[in-house]
Amino acid sequence: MKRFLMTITGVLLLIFALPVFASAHANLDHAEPKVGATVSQSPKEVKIWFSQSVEPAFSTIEVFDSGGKQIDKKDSHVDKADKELLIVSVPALDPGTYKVVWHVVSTDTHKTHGDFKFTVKR
Amino acid sequence: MSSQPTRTRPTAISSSPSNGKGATLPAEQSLITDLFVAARAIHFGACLLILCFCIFQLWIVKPRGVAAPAIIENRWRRFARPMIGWSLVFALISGAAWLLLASLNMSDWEPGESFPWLAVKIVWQATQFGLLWKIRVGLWAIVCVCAAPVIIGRGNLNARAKWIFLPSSALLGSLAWAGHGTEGSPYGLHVIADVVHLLVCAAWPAGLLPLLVVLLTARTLSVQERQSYVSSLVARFSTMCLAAVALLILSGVVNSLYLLGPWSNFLYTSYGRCLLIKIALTGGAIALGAINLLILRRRLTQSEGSQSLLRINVALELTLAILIVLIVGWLGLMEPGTP
Repeated sequence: MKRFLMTITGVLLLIFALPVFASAHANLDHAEPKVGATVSQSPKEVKIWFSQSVEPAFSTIEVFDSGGKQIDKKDSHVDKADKELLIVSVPALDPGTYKVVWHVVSTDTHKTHGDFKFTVKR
Repeated sequence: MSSQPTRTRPTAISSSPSNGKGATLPAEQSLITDLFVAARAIHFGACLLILCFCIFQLWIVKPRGVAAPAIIENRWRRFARPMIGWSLVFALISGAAWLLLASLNMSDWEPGESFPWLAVKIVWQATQFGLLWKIRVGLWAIVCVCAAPVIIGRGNLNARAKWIFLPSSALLGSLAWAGHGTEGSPYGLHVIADVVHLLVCAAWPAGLLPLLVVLLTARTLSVQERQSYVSSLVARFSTMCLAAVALLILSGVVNSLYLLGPWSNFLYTSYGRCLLIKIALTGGAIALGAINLLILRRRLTQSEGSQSLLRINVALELTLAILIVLIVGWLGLMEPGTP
């Protein structure tokens, strides 16, 4: 019995000694600018917080103007301190409505995608 | 404008309407999804079997201090050795297929395009899934080293099973990090429940396969020898199953609490309905096991007919177990809580 318990303990220790993996499906939690919001000043970045960690290599945010032209700086990246935060830089935005399209892969390899709009006030 | 995120449909490959790659080919996409389900199910099955043979060798077929007829020992060895070897081969091939199919999924690959080898490389080198797979390849290699003497027919199976037990448990248990088990905290109650669920499955229902093999082999024993050995074999297996089923139910309930959300999701989500089918099949297998334990086991020393019924019951239980593993392959691709 003692040997059995030691074996079981060994198995669990070995398994839980594996590196930390946070894995799940990532869905939009909140964003900045907020989903559907009207802002008075052009943001410097579009930030999206997801419900779970995302894979940097397969996760992007794209920002399009009302004419469908991509206007972001194509530098989508996951925040170093917060693996659930995806960021893309944008130039100074003229007044108008912008569409944000995101595609992410969560750390358990599942894909999710979505879009929302925000408006920069005149 | 969709203020809420658009979730992918519960298949291996999701079709993204905004990726500008044109229409997909449903038949080929469906084939890839089927391949993904098959790869996952085969991988689960192979990893289960490796641990299952160790458990059966160490605690069921001939535990320390228990005598087994020579013919049982010989045939069990002749069965177990290649089965461990082939399970390792299938675990490697299906694990590689899982990696490739996950890469196709992540890279938005669509039928007709060239194979995205670059995506495979990125998945392997720069994702958590790739890191997990690297560690699992290492665990697989350790199992191979421990099992090599057994596979080539030189080592003592009982002694080697002790060596194989630990790394093969880790190989199987680490699959908890490849699925839904770590939603929330990677070290939380959910992942513990998922690891327990996986490991216990190696005892039951996976143990039904070696049990059936030993029961079939026991037909060649004399009546007295058969009744004596089979009766004690089934007693040991049933005791293990009672503990296994209790742990399976407990860990399964914890998993459901984390993944499913409201109980109504059993009916209103595709994941819930799929899980309901799995639970129903498990319930059926438990019912068959209960018949073995409560009725047939007591008659084993009295009636030869009970032994035949036992074999048929175990075969039916095993069929249900195979269907359960297939459903597990499918469940991992679905998103819980999605209608």
